[in-house]
Amino acid sequence: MKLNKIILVLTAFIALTACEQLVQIDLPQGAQTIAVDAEISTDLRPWKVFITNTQAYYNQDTVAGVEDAIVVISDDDGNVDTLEHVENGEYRTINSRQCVPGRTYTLDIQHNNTLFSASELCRFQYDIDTFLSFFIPETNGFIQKGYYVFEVANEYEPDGDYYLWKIYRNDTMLDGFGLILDEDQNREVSFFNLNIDPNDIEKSIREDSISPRPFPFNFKLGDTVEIEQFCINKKYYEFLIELQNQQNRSGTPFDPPPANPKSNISNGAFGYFSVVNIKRASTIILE
Amino acid sequence: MRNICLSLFLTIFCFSAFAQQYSISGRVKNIEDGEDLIGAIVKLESGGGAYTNQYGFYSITVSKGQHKVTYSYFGYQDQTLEFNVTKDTVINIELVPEADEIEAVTVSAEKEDSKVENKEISVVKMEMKDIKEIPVIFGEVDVLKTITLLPGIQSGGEGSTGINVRGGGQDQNLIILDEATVYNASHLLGFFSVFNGDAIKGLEVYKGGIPAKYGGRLASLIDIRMKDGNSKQFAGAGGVGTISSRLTLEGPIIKDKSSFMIAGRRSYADLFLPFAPDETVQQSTLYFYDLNLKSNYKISDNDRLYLSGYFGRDVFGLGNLFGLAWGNATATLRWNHIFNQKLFANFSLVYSDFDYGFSIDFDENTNIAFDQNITDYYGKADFIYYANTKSTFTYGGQLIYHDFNPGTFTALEDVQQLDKRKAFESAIYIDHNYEIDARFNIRYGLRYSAFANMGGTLYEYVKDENGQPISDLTQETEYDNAQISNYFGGLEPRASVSYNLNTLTALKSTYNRTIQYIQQASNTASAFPTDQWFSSNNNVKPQIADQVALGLFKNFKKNFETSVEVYYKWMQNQIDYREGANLFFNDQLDGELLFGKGWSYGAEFFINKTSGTTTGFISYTWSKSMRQVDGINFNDPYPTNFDRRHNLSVVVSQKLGTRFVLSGTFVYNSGNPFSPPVGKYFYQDGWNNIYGSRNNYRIPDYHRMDLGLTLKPKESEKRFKSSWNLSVYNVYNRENPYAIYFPEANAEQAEKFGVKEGDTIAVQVALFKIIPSLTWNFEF
Repeated sequence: MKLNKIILVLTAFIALTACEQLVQIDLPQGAQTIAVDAEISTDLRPWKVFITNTQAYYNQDTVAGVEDAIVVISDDDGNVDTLEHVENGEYRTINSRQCVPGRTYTLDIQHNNTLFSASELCRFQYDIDTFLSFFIPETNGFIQKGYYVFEVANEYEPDGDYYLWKIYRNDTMLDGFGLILDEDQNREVSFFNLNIDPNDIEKSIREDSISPRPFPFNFKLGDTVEIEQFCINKKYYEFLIELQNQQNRSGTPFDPPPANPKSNISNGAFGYFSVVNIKRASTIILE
Repeated sequence: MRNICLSLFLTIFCFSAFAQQYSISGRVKNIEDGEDLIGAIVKLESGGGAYTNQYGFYSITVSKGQHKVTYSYFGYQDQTLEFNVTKDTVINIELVPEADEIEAVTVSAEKEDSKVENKEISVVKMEMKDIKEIPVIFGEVDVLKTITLLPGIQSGGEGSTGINVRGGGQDQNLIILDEATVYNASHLLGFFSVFNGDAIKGLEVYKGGIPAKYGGRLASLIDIRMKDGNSKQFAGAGGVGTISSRLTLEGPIIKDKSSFMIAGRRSYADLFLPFAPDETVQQSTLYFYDLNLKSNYKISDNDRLYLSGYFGRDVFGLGNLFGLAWGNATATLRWNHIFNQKLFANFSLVYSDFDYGFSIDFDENTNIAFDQNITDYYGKADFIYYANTKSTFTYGGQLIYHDFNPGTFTALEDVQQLDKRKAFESAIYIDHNYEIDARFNIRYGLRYSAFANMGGTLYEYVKDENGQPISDLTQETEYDNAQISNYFGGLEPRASVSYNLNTLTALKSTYNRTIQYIQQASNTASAFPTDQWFSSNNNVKPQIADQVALGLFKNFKKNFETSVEVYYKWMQNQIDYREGANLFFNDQLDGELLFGKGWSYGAEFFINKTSGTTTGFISYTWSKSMRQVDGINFNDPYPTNFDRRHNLSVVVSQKLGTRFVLSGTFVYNSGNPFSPPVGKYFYQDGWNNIYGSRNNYRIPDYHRMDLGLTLKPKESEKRFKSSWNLSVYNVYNRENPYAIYFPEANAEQAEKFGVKEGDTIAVQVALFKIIPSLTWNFEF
């Protein structure tokens, strides 16, 4: 239950008289710099880096790409790739590339005599052992009756790993909960399904130990469900959480002071350079 | 107890040994209901005098012979007695209210010229009957909202009973109701205060010059006193209003020996919810209720017992699914004892609890619940020794046992419990008020306060580049409950001087140090009831404030009081929070905290017209409130969320004929600082805001006018009397900004505001537009 919802209702009787209006505020303006949107992964594909200029808040023009930067991605094994500008701030490698777990990757952007730089480790992760569907026959309060999926995977390192999941139903990424972040504190990816015995799901249901997070979706028979499990760094996890928080704020006195999500890029650039290890699994919902 | 007895004995012995004179002592009461009159003036014609204390008791020392004593209290007829004093004499006085004066809106319920005569500085005293004349939102009298009209006391904003005193945070005010700490003074998330106007006798607010008797918070003491209960006859009062109704009954249990008061209040704001557009809102419940109880018993002329209690609760439900409730409960048992005519004592046992909880019931067998609470038990002993007409000593001590439960989380049968914390907070103090001559008065005192955490786990953290704890642990140490895990103590000197330049002008000054050992973890401009209280520990040093204030008080003619006060306050070990701090259900809260310093200063101007057909006051404050915390705002100083440069209030009350009173309030404040975006950047298919320095901009200024019209009953002999009060809040319908937010317009916003979807816009939310309300009040 989001606190914001509580506030909404608590103030609802007041809100009968409350009103919103568009205001034009003479905002202070920060210095212009660049924003970077770059994610490289263990998938084999051309690496892409988007570099754009920051804009004044009220500037409603479409985003302006930075076209004259020198963009290099290197790793600690001595590999160096220079990315080429394609259009409107998009830079890419000519050939497909994939990250190797255990290596640290560095992005260097030279622009207007400033070097913007970020490094990230590509983390190890095991394959997903089990990805199965199961049926919850009765709505139990926490969850509606229906078909759900769960996964089991082992954790490579004893601590410090953070995950992000994307879930697809018949090749369509699910909205709303499509991106799920979870801090894995229990040393096992299947944290929320810890008590599920893949060999006897029915027993788990009988014992009421199923809580099908992190995939709280109700599927239909015949659906093909695919998950992408991104093993990410703690800093990136915190960046995404803060980004989500910022987008959820409504400016009331009950909000904490706003702050910029902490980028890993040096010299005051915004955005993030992430290096992720992706594992996939899929299943078809059957009776 | 042995120590108390010993100190008592020494005191009595020391001072009695030199006593060559006689005392006149007693209590001053209202003749109509037997309520003690606090701060009534007892004046000797030959010079000197005294004020009655919080229990209406006074004592003056005179030489043998003929004396003329005048008892006076604002709004009451003076009473003068002349008698020959040949021994210690007890004179209990009952003053008669002046019917005509009841309508006046005045801040001080003391005698005219009292601001100059009174030796205190940075203190505000208000009686309930005055507060009731000021128009208020929804017709609901609110003592906390009313005091924010006075200089140096700021409202936390519309829809908030949080207050900020002289640049201090909302958790830096000690709010006590009959001596019991009230941790959460608001109902409905701050739209009302928990104090039912009918049950309250009056209040005192110390913005500075806090007597050594009080401590535990940095910024202010707000001392609210319940009515004792009519000891003369059975009486009642009540009201039916737009938002809530209330009923108070009081009367003697044994005439002139024992009386009671019981007051209840229940809101019905949720009656309006079905009209809300949102379906979830329609199915909600939302109300508060509170109950005040008090009774007193006169055991003998020298002994009196008071038992008072408060119980209040806010309840909120979302359909059958979600329940949220919080509330305070307090109980105070006091024993007044007059050892002799010079030594008055009060012993108190106090219980105070604030709890907060929510539960989600998914079905019969599936639910989760969260509960937290803070409970205090304390004992106090306070003595007043009236050594002679010039010299009064106040001394005593207190011991508080704090029991913090920061959170219990229950899901099905699984229970998670955050570390419960226990602590002792204690203090001893002595205060001496000495009138050097008719012009020059000094009061100085010393308080030693101490704080000990008992048991629990102490966490040591990795330090960041600024030496601030960061949420990775280096060490955990567990202590038994009987072990002191850490200890703090400190001296808190207090002093005030006042010098009367002439009978109409006084110059006053004060210095005080205050130390605060418990605080609320709140990272927002308005505190939530969910924000947990936590104590000083190995990572969190006690907060310390030093304040100096200087004031000039001058009266004009007979009924104009004016004052100017300037102050400067230094605050150490102030707390702020890391970006993205997790303050909810977190055992390792200290890793989310940042520590720094604060300072505030300002000038306060006040003009008060105390009598006539037109009464009222103008209050203006210029102030600044800053913090500097390493790790925030690039380590540079930044204004607090409540740093407002200008605060102006004008309150006027005009009698119209014999039955109507028209009153009006105008309020103007500079806008609160906030941190709007200074730009935006594109990331993951959308715009994200860029923020600059902390609180680098201000929301537009706030101003508002309220009007109230009261129709009094006709003069008659009937006991049942009723009056009507029509209040209009925000008469010129100003849309004051409550919040401004900066979204990327979604489809709904694009259509509503006539912009393109995806445009980055600024949206201002205004809460209260014009709100009329009608209240019917009665008494019998």
